[in-house]
Amino acid sequence: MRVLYFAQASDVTGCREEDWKVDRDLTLEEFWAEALRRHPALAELAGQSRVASGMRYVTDNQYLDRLEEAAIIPPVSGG
Amino acid sequence: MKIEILLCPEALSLPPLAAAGVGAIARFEGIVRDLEGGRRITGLNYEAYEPMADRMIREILEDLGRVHPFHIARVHHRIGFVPVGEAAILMDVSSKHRFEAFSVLTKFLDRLKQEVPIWKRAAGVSSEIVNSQEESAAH
Repeated sequence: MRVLYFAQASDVTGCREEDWKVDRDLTLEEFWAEALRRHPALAELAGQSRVASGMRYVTDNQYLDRLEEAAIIPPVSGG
Repeated sequence: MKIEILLCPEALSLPPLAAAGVGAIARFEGIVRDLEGGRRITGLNYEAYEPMADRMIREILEDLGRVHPFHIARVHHRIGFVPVGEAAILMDVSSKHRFEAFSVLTKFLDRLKQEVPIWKRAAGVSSEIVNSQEESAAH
């Protein structure tokens, strides 16, 4: 699964993207557990950030398709 | 209903809309101001998850267009460094009557700021606080 980090998520992880070796789709809870295992500093953003999979926001009862691009989306501020 | 979206690093310019069959054109220009959190800045740096931002802008406009039918909506958002005094976003909406154009414009901008994956941060921030009442350099 290709995982993208934007804005503050990129700042605290020190990277903009990673490839995760996963053999199945992930629940949102599993996704965050893996993200925090790799980057404990993300904990400060986890409560306020959203996750996208296939360029759509993921809700609590949805899975992240392991073949789709995922992204951690900190609070947005466009315009 | 036609939608035009542009996310680009260059200075923005939105040529006038053709007005045939149109009764109203509402236009918005979002300009970077010189204060952020009470401190002088040189500009704002914008970052975007561009393919998702493009998709979401289109979906929001399509959603609004079902309630407030419009002819053309154009959204041009600058990405990268935007100096103070220049536009970070230009948008216009044409419709048969003013209510639809104004409604799409204002509702879109509200949703843009809550949903679309675009981020900004101040650049060239001065150490001196000029005005403690100031909050955001965005429009």
